[in-house]
Amino acid sequence: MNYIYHLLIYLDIYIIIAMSLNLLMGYGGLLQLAHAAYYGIGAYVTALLMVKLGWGFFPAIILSSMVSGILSLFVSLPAWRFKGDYFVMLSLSVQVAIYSLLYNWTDLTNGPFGITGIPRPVILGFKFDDIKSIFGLSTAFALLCGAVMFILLKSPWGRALKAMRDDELAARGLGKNTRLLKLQAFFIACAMVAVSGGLYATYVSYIDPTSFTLDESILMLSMVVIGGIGNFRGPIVGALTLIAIPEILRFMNIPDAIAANARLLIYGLLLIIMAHVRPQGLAGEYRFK
Amino acid sequence: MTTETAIMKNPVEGDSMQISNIVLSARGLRKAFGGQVVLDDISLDLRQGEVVLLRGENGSGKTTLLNILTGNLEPDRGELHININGSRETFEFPKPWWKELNPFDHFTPERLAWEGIGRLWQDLRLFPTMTTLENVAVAALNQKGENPAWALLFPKAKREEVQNTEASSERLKKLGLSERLDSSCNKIAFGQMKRVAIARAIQAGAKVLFLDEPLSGLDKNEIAEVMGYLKDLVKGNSITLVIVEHVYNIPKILKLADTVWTLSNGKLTANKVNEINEEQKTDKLDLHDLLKSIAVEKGRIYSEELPNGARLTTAYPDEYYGSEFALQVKDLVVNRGIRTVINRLSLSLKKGQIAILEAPNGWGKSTLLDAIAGIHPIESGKIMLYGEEITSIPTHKRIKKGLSYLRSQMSVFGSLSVKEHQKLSNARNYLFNSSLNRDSKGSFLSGGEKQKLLIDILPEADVYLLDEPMMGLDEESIFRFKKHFKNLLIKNRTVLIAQPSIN
Repeated sequence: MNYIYHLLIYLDIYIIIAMSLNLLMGYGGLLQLAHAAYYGIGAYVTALLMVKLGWGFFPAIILSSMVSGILSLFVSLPAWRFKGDYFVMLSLSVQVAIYSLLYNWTDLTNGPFGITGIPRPVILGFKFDDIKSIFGLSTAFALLCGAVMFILLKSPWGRALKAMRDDELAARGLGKNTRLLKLQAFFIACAMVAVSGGLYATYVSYIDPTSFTLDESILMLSMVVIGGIGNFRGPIVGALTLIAIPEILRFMNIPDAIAANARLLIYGLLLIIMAHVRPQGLAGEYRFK
Repeated sequence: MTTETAIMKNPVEGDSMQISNIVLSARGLRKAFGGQVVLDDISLDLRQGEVVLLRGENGSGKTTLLNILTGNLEPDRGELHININGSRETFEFPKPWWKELNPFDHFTPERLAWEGIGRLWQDLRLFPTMTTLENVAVAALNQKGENPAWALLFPKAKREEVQNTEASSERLKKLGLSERLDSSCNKIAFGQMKRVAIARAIQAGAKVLFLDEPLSGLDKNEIAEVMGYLKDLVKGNSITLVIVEHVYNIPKILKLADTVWTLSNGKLTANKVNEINEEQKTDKLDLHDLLKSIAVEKGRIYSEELPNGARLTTAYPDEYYGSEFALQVKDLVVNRGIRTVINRLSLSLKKGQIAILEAPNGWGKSTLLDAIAGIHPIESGKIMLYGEEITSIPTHKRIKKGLSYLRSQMSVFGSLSVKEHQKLSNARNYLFNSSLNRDSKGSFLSGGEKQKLLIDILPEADVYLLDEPMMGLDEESIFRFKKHFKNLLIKNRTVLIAQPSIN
């Protein structure tokens, strides 16, 4: 039973990640490859505040969101001028730079050895110690993030973001400040992914830079592309699908050494098949160009 | 609004006048592309409620001027003064260095939109994934819900959104689109798209509206509707209009306009409409004139009514009366989404024959030509080229078998020069070669020049499919185009032209 709860906690975490990435890709038309780095910033800031400064879970996760949101300027400012492939390359460089920082700033992050002993969340004196209660917490966060995203996407702000995605020049001609829209979208998406990073750090109690590599960014991207972008349900379907794949492989009695590679192979194949057969994803409504 | 008045030379009347009702003025605008001066020392004034027709030959700089006056392009030199709704703005070029450093103090389209300057694009630029209603509603300025914090924390912003949606819906209903409010913008007819684009610009609070070919591609009824709407705008809201229009539709715009701006050799001259006394040779510009000239020389004109208000008018010389069929379409059924656009249509064209298919927008003219060219899939029916069935072969093979297709709203390759476009095609005789700068990149060409280039690079073929071929062409180019295709007919080529029904 614990195994199921473990999977559901991961599902909650990845739903938050996929929803935040969908805001950028599906609604903003901005293909971001540095999402795992901001996930890492959320995890590290939460962990450091809790372990080194003894902060509580809530203040730590709020500050980590703010830090991640502010650091989103590394990608949102270049997005003012760079588009398409150039922006992808730029976000890739931000991903590599942040990963290198986590790996090499050993005084702060303990480098490749990571941070151990991250305490479990305590809210109003209640300690989320067992897996069931952590699942309850992660689900509450997923629902909260889902509600925030739902309201935003249905609001005039979400509509203006879609207009920018469809035709930035026409949107500007209607008085939409697309620079501000990009800053806001990146701030919200990076702050939200930092929440999932904080949840992840307190759940696994140990983090190191290998959890926030480019591979992780590509996994997040795959979730959004396979599930479908441009609507609310697509990323949820994507997270569910990509969390399920390795678990299905596990039950197929494939040796561990092969299973890891087979999983990557299946992700790759799925991306190619989706691009040809259903470019808008399993449940999406917008085709990323 | 400030009561300050200044004395300024008015280029229209040539005398001095107060600028209190001038909403936009420019002084000494200059713009050059790669050494070629497009606009040279342009000065102009626009008054509240004035309607201006901006005209000029292809490549004379109409779109460049529109781009500058709407903040989409910075001039090399000059000044722009805006005085709408009491706010005064002056933009000077070249900009002082310190203004370059401020990312929010730019001469940008969004900044000018906030000042009340709107634009209707020639290619419309609607948001294709949104409904018509969303396209209009998104345009409203100063919506509280466009601030994400406000949208999250104050659901009461919804009341404002409801009002905005109602106003957008009313605007669309007024333009005859009450049944299309929830239609996706890329699934409605071109004329309907045009009306949505106009409604969107007004919803954005435009007080000075620049319209790039608002009537092109519209059929007779749609032209009447749009003209009526433009009249209401000018009368009711004191909106200032600057209209660039195709030579065909200039007489219609002249009925509405107060002033005519003419661009020639980089210079702008302004006249009152009553000073414009030239005869509009629109009859000579009509494609039917081409049919008549063939019929007069030796032949006949036939006219056939097609379903849903369409008409196929055709002519061919008598000596080809018994000649073989060049293009045959039999029982063609074509769907667009779940809607059947072409239902069991049959038509045949013989060698040396020209046919003009005129139909209201939304009839499926472009879909029909796309289906014949193999770009759009068909449900059932047969398409034959010189007796050989081509229904199931891909487009490139149809082209090899002797089909040539000029698509409506097609664009050129932005990064390739005119010369490179010509090398890509297997065409040999370039109709407009002399009027195009062969080193210009596709993205720098004006709308009319792009159309000329597309006609020039049409592959030589036995059967030509032309969708609104004269869109954007100036008078001289239209005469040249007609002469060229008349020669092709003499050489036994077959031509099918689609255009909206104007008469």
